[in-house]
Amino acid sequence: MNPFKVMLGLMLGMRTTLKYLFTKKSTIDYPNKPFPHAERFRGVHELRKYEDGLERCIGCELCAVACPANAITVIGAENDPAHPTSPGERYGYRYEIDMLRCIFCGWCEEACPTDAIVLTPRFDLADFTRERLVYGKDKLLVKDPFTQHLANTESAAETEPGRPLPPQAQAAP
Amino acid sequence: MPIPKGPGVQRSVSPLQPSSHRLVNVIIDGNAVSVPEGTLVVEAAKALGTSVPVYCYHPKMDPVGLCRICLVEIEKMPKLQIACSTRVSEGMVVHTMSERVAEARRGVLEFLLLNHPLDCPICDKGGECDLQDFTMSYGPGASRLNEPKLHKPKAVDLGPTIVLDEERCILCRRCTRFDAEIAQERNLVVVERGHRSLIGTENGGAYTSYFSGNTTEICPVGALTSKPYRFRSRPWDLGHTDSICNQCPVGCNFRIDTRFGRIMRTFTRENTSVDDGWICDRGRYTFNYLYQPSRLRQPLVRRGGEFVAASFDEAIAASAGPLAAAAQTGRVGVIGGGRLSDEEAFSLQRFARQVLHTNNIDHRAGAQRLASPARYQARLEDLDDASLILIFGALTPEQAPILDLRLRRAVARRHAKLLFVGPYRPWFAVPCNYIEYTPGAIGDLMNQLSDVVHHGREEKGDGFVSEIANELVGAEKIIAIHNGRDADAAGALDRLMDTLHQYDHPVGILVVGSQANSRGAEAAGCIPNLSPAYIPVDDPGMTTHQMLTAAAEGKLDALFIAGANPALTYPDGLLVRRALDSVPFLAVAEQLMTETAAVADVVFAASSFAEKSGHLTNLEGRRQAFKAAVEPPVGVFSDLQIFSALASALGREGVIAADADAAFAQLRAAEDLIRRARGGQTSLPRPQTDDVSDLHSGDAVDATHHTLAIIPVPRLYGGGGAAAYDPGVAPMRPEPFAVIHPDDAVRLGLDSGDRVQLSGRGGSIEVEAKIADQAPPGVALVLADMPQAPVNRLLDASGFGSATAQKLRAEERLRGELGSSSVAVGDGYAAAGAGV
Repeated sequence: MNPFKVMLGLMLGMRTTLKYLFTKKSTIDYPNKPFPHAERFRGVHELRKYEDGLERCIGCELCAVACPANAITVIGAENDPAHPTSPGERYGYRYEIDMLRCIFCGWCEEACPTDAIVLTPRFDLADFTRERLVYGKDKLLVKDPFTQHLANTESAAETEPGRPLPPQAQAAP
Repeated sequence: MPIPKGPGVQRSVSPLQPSSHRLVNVIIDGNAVSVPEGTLVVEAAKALGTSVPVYCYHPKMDPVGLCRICLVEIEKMPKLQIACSTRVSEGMVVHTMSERVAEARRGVLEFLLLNHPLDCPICDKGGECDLQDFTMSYGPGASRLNEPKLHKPKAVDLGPTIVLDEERCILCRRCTRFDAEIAQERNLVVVERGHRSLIGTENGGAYTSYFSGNTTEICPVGALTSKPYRFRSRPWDLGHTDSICNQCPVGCNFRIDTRFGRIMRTFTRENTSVDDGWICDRGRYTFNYLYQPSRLRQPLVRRGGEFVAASFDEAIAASAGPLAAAAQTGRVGVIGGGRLSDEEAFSLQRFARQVLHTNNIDHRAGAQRLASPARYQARLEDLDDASLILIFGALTPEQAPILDLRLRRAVARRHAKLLFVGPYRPWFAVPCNYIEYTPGAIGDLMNQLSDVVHHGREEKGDGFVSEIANELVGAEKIIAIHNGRDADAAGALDRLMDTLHQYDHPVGILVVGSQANSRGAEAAGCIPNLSPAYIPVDDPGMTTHQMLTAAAEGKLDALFIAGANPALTYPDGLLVRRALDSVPFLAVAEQLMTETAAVADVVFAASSFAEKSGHLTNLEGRRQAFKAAVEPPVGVFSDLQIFSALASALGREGVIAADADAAFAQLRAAEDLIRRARGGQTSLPRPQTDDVSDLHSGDAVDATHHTLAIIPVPRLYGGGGAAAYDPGVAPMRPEPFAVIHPDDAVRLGLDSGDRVQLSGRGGSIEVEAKIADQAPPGVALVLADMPQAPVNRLLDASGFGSATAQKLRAEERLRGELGSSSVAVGDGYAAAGAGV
C-alpha cells in the first residue's frame, strides 16, 4: 500500500472539513433555538375562534370527509340558543385528530367552510403514549382568538409530572 | 347520473300503475321502451334507467307539477313539458338531456336557490339532499342575486318529532300531500301565499301524526328534519343494516343506520307488499331505550330479597337448580315468545318440551288468544282492492298503523266500505260505519250473519243484521280484521267466511295481535297444545291462565318468562300478581326492568332486536329476516344464548342451538317434515284457549251506582315495553286516561281533565277523565298497559272488568300520589319507569 496515496485521501477529506469549518453552521441549538421552517410548512392543527369568542367549527364533518387518512372524527351537536358555542344551530361537540394518522396534507383546511381548522407550523409532536397523540378540542382549540395559533403552541407543554418540560421550539413565520 | 344507454335497445317493463294493459312504444334519449298506456314520462324514463330530476313528484302520490325541475323536451310539442305529469302516448320521442332541457333546469334551479340559505354544512339533509345533488348535476355554478335573501323562521318546532326550517323549504308540498293523500289527516298545510308561503298545521297546533317521521324522509331538502336525529351524524357516516321493525305485528321493513356501533336513526326500506315504503313513528323512534340507564346490562340474582349483579354463569347456575327440580316433578311453566324472533320462540318451546319435559308453554301474555286465522289468511295487499273491510275489536290506527295506511287508502281513494263492530265508537281517520256490540256477543252476531247469508236474503234476526248481511253479500271482496282476543268470535267468523266463500266471494282474515311476533311464536309452537307448524301434541300442557292459576295456588314450582311482561299485559292483574308472588322460583329474560322482572328471582339481560339476527313472522304469516346492526353491551346475551346455556346447565347440551342460523335450520327442518306430512290440509288446528266467558262481567254493571264497565283500549305510544322507556317516544307518550260518556260524567260529577280513581277487583288506578261519546254509557275506556296506571288491576281474565269511579279532589290527589309512591317502593309493580 502506498502511504502517499493514503495521505492524499486523508488530506482531501480534511480539506472538505476545513471548508465547512468556515461556512455557516447548518445545525442549530435545538430545542433552545427555533427551527427555521418553510413559510407554508404544515404542522399541527388548531381550531380557531371568531373574535367574539364563538367557535368557528360548526361540526359539519367536511374535514373528516376530506381527510385521506381518516384521522379526523367530528361529532356535532345542537347549540343551546341561550349560550351558543358557535354561530348557527350546530357546533362541533367533539373534534379529534389522530396525529399519528395525520399526513399533514392540509385538505381539512381546504374543505372547511368556516376556516375553523388551520394547520400551524408547529411540528414538535413527540409524546410517550398513542392516546396523548389523539388531539381533542382541549389541545386544538385556540385559547384566545386574537393571538390565534401563537397561543396554541403551549399545548404541547402538558406533560407527565416529573418529566422536564420541553422547551418551546417554535416561531411564528 | 343517468346511465347512458346504447340506441335501439328494446326493453319491456312490468306495468307501472297501468291505466290499461295496452303497451305503447316510446323513445327516450334514443332508447325505445314499451310501457303501459298512461304511464308517466318520468316513470317510463325510470324503466330505462334514465333519471329525470324531480322534487314535487313522488311515486306514491298524485303528480302535481309544482316544481318544474322535471322539464323534458318532447318532439312535436312546442314547449318543454313536465315529465311528472305528462303521460306517454304511442310514438312519443322524449329528450331528457338536450341543451334546451339543461337550460330550463338551470333556470328552475336558479329560482329555487334564490332564497335558499347556504347552510348546507349545518343542514342535516346535507349529503342526501336532492337540491344539493341536482344543483351539482344540473344547476348554475354561481348565484346572480345581489340583493339580500328572504328570511323566514328557522328551527320551528312543528311537532313532537319534527323541526321545520322555513328558509330551506322549496314548497314542493310533498309533506302536505303526504298528510292529505297517504295519511288522510289533512293537518299539514301551506299557509299564506306567494313568497310568504309557509308550512304549518291547519289547526295551528302541533303536527302530531303517527306518520310524521315519513315527511322528514320525503322532504327533498332539509326543511323537515327529525328531532331525535338532529345533528347526530351526517349521512355518509352511517352504516346501514336491513332490519324489521318489531313494534307491531305488521313487520315493516326498515333500515337501521349506525355510527360508532350505536343506532343513530331508522329509515324506511320499501317493501310494497308490507309497508309500501312508510313506517310509523313508534317504529321509527323506539331504539333510544337501548342507551338508557334503565336498560339491563348484566344479569341480576335475588339474594336476601335484593337484586345483586351477577355474571351470566352465576345467573345460569342460580336458575338451573330450581328449574331442574321443578322439571322433575313437572311443576314448571314457560311463558313467552311473542316478542322473540322465530328462532328464539322455537328454541323456547324446545327448551320447555325437550329440556324441561313439559308442554306448559304459552306465548300469550296478554288478552290475545289467537295469532292466525284457521283459514282464509289474507295478505296486507288484499286490503288494496277490498270492497268491504270488517273490523271487530282491533283498533288498527293504534295497533298496526301501517296496516291502517292501506286501509285509509282503500276507503278514501278506492271506495272500500269500513265497518267496525265493537263495544265502543272507534277513531279512524276515514269514515266508518260503527255497530255497537258487547264484546262477548260478537260471536253470536257472526253466527247470525252466517245464517242470514246462508239462507238467502230472508229477514231474520235484527234489522241491522240483515243490513250487514246485504253488505256482505253485495261486496266483491271482504277482508275481516280482528284482534284475536275472542276465540269463539274468531271461530264464528271462520264459519261466516266459509259461507261467503261458498258464494264465490273472495274473503280474507287478518289478525292484529298485541305482540309483534305472536304469529311467529304460535307457528313455532309456543302453544300448550301445538308443536311447531301447528301439530297437535298428545297431552296438552297449561295455558298462561292455567299456569298463573296453578302458580297462585302453589301448584307450580318454577316459572320461566322470556320476552313477555304478563305483570302488566295479562288481563287478570290480581291473578298474575298472586301468581308471580307465590311461585317459588321465577326467572325472567328481559331487556328492561319490567314489572315482571322486578319480582323475579333471576333476571337475564337479553339483547334487543338490533343486536341479534333472526326472523320475524308478521300478521300475514310472512317470514322476514333481520340482521344485527350493533353489538350488545358486555353482559347482555341473546335469548337464544340464554336458552342454550340453560339447557346445557340442565344436562341437555346441544339441544338448543346458541346460534340463530342453526336454530333457524332446526325450525325449518321441523316445518318441512310437517308440511310433507300434512299434505293438502288447509285449515290450521286451533290453539288451546281458556273458557273465560263465565268470568265476563262487563254486562253485569249497575249503572245507577258509581260503577263503570272497564274496556282497555290500546294507544300507539302507550303500553309498557320498550316504548315506555324510550326518550324518543317520550314526547308523544300519553298520560293514563279514561274516556267516559257525557251522561256518566254528569252522574259522577266529572269534568274533562279531572282525576278519577277507578277501583276494581285487583286494586285501584288513578287516571285523567276525558268526556267523549266514544264510550257508550256505563263504560269507561281506559288506556291499556300503562305502567303508571295498570288497567289490569281492574280486569278479569276475559280482558274486561268493572270498577267504581271516584273523583279525586286536589288534596286527595296529593295524598294519593304520596301514598302510591310509598307503595311503589315496596311492591315493585308500580316502579315502572324507575329501572335499576
